[in-house]
Amino acid sequence: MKILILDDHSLFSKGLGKILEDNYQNLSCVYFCSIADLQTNVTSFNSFDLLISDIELPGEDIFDFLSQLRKSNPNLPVLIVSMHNKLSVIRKCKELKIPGYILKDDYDLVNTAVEQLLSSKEYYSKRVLETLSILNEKDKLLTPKEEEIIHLLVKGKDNKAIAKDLFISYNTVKTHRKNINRKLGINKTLELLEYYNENYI
Amino acid sequence: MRAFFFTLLFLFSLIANAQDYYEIDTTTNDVDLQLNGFHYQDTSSTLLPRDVISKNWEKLDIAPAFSSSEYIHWFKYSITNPYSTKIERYFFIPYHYIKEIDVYAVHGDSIELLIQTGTSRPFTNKDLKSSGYPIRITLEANDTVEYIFKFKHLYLPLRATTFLVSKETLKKTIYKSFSLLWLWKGVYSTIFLIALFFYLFLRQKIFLYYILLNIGIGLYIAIQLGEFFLFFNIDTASYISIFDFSGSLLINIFFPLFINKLTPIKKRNPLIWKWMFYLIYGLIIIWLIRLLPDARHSMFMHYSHIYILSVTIILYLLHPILLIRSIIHKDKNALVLFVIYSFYVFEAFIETILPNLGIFSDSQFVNYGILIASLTEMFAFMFLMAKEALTVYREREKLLLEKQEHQTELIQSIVRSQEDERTRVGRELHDSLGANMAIIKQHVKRTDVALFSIVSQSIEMVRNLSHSLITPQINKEDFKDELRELCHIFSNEKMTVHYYFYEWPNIEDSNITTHLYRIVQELINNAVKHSQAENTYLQFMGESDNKISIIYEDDGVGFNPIQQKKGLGLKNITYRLELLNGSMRIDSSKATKGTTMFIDVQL
Repeated sequence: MKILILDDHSLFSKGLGKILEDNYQNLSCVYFCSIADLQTNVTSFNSFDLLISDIELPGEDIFDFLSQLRKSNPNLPVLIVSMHNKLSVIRKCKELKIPGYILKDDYDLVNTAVEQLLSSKEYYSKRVLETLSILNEKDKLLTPKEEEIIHLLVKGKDNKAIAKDLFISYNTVKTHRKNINRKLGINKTLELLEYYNENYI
Repeated sequence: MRAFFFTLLFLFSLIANAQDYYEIDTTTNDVDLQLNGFHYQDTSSTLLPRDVISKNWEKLDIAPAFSSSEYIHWFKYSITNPYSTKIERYFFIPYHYIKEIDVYAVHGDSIELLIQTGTSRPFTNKDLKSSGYPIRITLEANDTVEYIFKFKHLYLPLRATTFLVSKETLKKTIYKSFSLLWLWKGVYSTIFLIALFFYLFLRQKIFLYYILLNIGIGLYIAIQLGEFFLFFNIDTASYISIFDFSGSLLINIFFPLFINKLTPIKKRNPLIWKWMFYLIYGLIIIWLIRLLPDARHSMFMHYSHIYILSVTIILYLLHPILLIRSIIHKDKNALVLFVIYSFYVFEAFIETILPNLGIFSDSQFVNYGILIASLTEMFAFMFLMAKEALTVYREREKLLLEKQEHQTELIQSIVRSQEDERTRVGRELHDSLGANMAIIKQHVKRTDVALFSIVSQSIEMVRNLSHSLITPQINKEDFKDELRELCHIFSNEKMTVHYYFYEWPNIEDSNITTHLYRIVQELINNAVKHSQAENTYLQFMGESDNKISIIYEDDGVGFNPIQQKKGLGLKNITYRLELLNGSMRIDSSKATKGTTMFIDVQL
């Protein structure tokens, strides 16, 4: 079994290799510290069973490399081991259909992750999944303040009365109303009433 | 040669045969009485007209001028009506600050007081509203009357010019003087206001000097023309010398100061400048003493007047010399100033000095020249000042621009150094503390659950902290995710950060995204630290790729934006907004429920 390890911190990649070699017999690891280094030495990925890669490689665009690799070798499993528990990074990996993502201090999960990937399964560690779950939060349209204003408007109150009721300034009410109209795509109070009837009653 | 002697003899015979009375002629309505009258100076100042008649009168052949003294001057003119009808004429004295003028008519033995006029008399029954003194007389057919004038000028210089004119001429003269006077008043006030406006707007001393110089000129001219006199319609005699002198004092002080602002006289002639001002300080002292009524009615007036005259002459002569030196050194404006000054002095020469020497006689409208000179001077100086104002304005604009640039640079460097420092600390935290923590975690036994979870939490905290410290390299597609995550990280049991995206704009400039990211970070940070809010709401609203609005709301305790504006968090936001040309509106007070902030940035 051959595993490619791509990380600019060789101490880390060597340590990682050691953990894996302890776990698997007849495992050989090949280490690279940059994409350029890897591309000059490896012409074909067919002989490899897994790529373990960092996200941050100085001066190089890992996503560019990964998207090419996903196209040329869709069957080669890739495990990202990164320090970054960042939504934007994880989301990109997810979009590239990269099957594995763990954090660097999840060292105790490395063996589990590798196992899962080798049996063609996905593995995202718990914390990574948590971060990714931010995306599942549904974008709401109106803020509670805006909804409050709609309620008061429907009751027939004018801006001044609303400002008094909500303890905010008149100008703030005006801005909120402008934004409500923009968000709901309406121009008249009558249309607001329609919206209210449809959504709140 | 013979012809020459004949002519000379003829001329002498003319003088010898000259009448000592005036015949009123229809062709020449107005007569300058000074050229053929008689004068008597009463040094005792006590004589009555009856006593004066028998004194030795001196024949006049030029217009007389007398310096300030306490003597009374008497003039005598014989006037004949050659017509067979009764006629009416006016004596007209075109000056305004003669204290007393009494006019008597002598018919054989009887002496009749015709009129008492002058500034110390009440102004009643004036049949012509005029500056100067018009005195009406009537002459019976073929009658000859001798008129005696008593001039009491008391410590003021006197030019006793008197004209005999018809009513039409008088009206014409008055009309002419008024029309020119109104033109002068119009120009004067316009230029005064312009200078005042310039001074208030540009805060340049040159305009203040010009304003004060003009107040001096205005005061002086108003006194010369008798304007005060007509305006108040009361006796202003005891104050006239003070006002008159105030005017000339202002002129004497502010003329050199003003000129110096236009061309560097002081720098060029420091010693002369110093002595010049010593002389001027003398004038100020005299002015102060003159405020005492006792001093005004004593010989102090006489002696101080000599000082004033000498100083004025010295200053008038000094200025062209200084200006010529400036011209030689090719200082700015020097030539123009010299030309204006020459015109001014030339005018004063014709107007004042020549008549006083008896070379050039006065006309009925003696102040014509003063007004023309003043108008010319005002236009010329206004031209120079407009030039000056333009230069100042341009310089100021340049300075302002530089200052703005400098300020932007300053803010930029503040923000940049802050970023650098944060990144450095963040890296340090991450690389050393974070790495050590990771090693500690490896050594902690899994079975020790409590310790293990504390270490894990600490690692997470260090990661989050370093993450928020290190300047994020945010590109446009990641920006929204970064913001989501930011809101997410800050949400906990105590406070929830809600976020709303509406019409997300495409922000190309990673500089802008970094600033916006930091602003949002700062907003949430402030909320955590100060607001005591349970919920904060962040709305990100785009507007067709050229504007982004961030609306922040919380349900916390609110604050006073004016008092707290100096807080580090808000200051940081303000700096960044300044760099982005953005704006912020805060709606919060201790009385409101929570805080609302509107941030707008043009992309």
